Amino acid sequence: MVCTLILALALPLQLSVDAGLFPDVLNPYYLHLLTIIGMNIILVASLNLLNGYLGEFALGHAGFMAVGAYTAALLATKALPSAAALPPVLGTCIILVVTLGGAMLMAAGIGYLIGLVTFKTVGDYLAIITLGFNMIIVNAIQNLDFVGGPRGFTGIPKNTNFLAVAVCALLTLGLLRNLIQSSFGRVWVSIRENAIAAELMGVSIAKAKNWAFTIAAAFAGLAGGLWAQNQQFITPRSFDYIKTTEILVMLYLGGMASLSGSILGVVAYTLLMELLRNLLSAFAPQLAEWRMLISPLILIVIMLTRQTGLLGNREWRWLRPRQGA
Amino acid sequence: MGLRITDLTKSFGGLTAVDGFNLELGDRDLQGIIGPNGAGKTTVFNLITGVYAPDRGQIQLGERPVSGLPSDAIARAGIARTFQNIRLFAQMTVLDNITMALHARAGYWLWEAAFRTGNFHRQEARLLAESREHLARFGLLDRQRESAGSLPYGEQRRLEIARALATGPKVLLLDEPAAGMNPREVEELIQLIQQVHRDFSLAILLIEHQLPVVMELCREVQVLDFGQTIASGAPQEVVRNPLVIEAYLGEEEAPA
Amino acid sequence: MDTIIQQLFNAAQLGAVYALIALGYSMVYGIIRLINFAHGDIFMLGGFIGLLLTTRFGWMPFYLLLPLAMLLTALVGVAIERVAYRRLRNAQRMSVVITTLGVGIFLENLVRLTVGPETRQIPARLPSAPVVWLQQHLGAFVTWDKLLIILISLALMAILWLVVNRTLIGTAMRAVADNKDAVPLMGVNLNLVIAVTFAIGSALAAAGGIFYGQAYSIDPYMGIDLGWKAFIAAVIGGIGSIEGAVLGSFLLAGVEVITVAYLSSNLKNGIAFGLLILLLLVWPWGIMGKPTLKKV
Repeated sequence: MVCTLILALALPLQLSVDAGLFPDVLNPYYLHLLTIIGMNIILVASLNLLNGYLGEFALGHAGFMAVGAYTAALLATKALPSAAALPPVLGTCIILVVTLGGAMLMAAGIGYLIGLVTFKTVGDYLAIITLGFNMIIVNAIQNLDFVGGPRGFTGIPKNTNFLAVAVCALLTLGLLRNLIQSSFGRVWVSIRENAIAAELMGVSIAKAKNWAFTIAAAFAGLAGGLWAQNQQFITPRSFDYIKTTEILVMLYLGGMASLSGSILGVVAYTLLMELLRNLLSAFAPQLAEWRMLISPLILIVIMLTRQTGLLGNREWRWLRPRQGA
Repeated sequence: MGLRITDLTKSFGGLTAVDGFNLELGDRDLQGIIGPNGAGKTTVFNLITGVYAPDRGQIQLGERPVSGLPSDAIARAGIARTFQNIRLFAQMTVLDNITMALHARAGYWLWEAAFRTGNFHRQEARLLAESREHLARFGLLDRQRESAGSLPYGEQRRLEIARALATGPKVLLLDEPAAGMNPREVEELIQLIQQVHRDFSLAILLIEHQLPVVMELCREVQVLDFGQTIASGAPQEVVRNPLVIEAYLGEEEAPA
Repeated sequence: MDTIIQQLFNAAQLGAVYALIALGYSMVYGIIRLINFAHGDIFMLGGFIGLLLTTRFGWMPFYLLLPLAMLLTALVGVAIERVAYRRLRNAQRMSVVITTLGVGIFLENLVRLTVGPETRQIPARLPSAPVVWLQQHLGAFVTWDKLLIILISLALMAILWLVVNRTLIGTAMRAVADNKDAVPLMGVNLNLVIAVTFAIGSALAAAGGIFYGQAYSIDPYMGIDLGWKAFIAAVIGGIGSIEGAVLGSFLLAGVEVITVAYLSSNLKNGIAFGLLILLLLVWPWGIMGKPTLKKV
């Protein structure tokens, strides 16, 4: 229901901004903000699968995002014709499906491999190892000349717009919700609650974890693919540990094991940052950069005061299972 | 299909926790293991369920050797257990604790769950119905929406037993189910175990510290002390065995 | 021959800096089982405090400047523990780890905003003349400051070893590392022990920051890279063990210097992290760490 509503709003919104209608209210800046929010929702919700539901502590999400972004960028520039050569709307759709599909597959593959080799590690060491893989991925891209190395990848066509991001974000939320409210989701949560008991109920922990890693990585790759075709310019550094931390901040702000929380966390964080930026640049331009101190402070304050985040373990009704019969 | 254990042995460092343990648990048998604290009782369970790999010895479930298999494979082969310190999925609902236990029989693929196919809805409805029926048998149906961790202690014990049974085991291992219970709860527990033994076609192996529970329930008991079986037989005979009395009097708590 | 000896000194200098950072990671982990992700940024902060002292108080001799910077950084370290970590001591472990991440980013951005993002070098306060004896006898060009950095670092580590193994507070620290819950029962002030641990760790990291700033350069984000590598070194050696942290640091520095000299400097981070992952896959609990028995 809500999904249909959002889509019903997103389409005219995109069209009217493209057409330059109501330039005062619906300017591209707001649409840009919404686009960023949409991509961040994909990232945060998929990380929630690992850190919130599965109860692991993965710190390498930006690495999967990088894999997706570079895969999509390569596909869009080297493998596919430009959108201009194809019929207008359909062409962009095909390009998006191919690039994003490729991004998801590639990221899922890497996520699967990482899940495979880390099956024995838990807790602190899994955190280290995933962060280590994040850094290795960034380091590897820096050493690949054909994607621009440390200078970055330029000239990516802008195939993404708000509408595409909105569709992807809703799809992500819907699929994640479905999975979480299935036998697979119950198994993931049971591992979080008591891994030994889950194992002695016949759960192959390695297998269940690897599925979760693969799925989370695929969605991070999707966000990366959208990101690359929205920013049109990506560098390895934009996917390093700072990005992972930003995702974590939004995740913990919203709350663990709650998709509603992920949405709320992203929206609250993004709006807060923009608000601070506008306020500071209006009243104290020399302090505009100081908002960079706010985001880590938010994280610390959440941890000290409300460790479950805004909506930990709770869901809005449209994301809850229908309690049948 | 019972459990047959021969010469099961495990050492940690220099300490032999279980030394040459043997067991012949028949099809629908109900046996007990007793012994003072630290005698190696829980280690026997940990070896049977694959938490630790045995140094020596064989464990057979029916005709199938299961020693050396990973825990989850042993569980799927048909051995379920409860824990001395209750290990429920505390933040999940009572219902989900049971439905989760049916995961091996979910009957749909990952993609079917993701896209909510017709088969998914059918199977999920079946799982839900089975779980509710199961909960009703254990008198927990009206608690189904509550989180497992919020139940009173006695009901947590009951839920843990219900969850273990939901996996459809052939052998059920109960690790000190009466620990921390008052006499009235113990009486209820004894009835519950008798009911389970009657209604489900399975074998039960019980570790217990409180002798009355074992006396009332078990056909045969083994007494472990320092990892070794010092006596076995019918409970009434075993408690008169001087070795057993000495092992129990060795600690503060005399047999009740 | 001469270049090998020079490389040896390069590795020793880098290893000394890694060790000074790694010790802080290792001690804190040993005592409260916390990976302090902000520790690399304490190292960075120490470097900048050193820079501030050298530029503002030019008259101050190095033997005064170094302890002063260490003291100031130690105070910061203790303050952070008091404000941000202590309340979370009994919370879920991941909450604390995430808090340390937040503190780290806070420090990075704070320094960036107050001092600026540029890369700087701490003005040399140690003699930079070559060591004549080494030049004459081994033909190796090694400067005095390099040699001094290595020697002072080793001296600091020796002092630390003495503190941990030969003093009352050191005994208390080892006791806490052994069993945190039993120690308060025995009349040891747990808060004090933990504060001292953070103080020592931060002071050593500050020394590392100053040495690094003299030998190479400092910038607000250096704590990420170097902190991580020092952490890797601590894990390689067996986190929680002082000797292990030192050993792992020199080992990692050796690998890195060889990689830069004979392969490519672009690969050194990748190889460091590759080494870490390989190690953790073979020994999921670290080389020296004991695999914990599952408690059922």
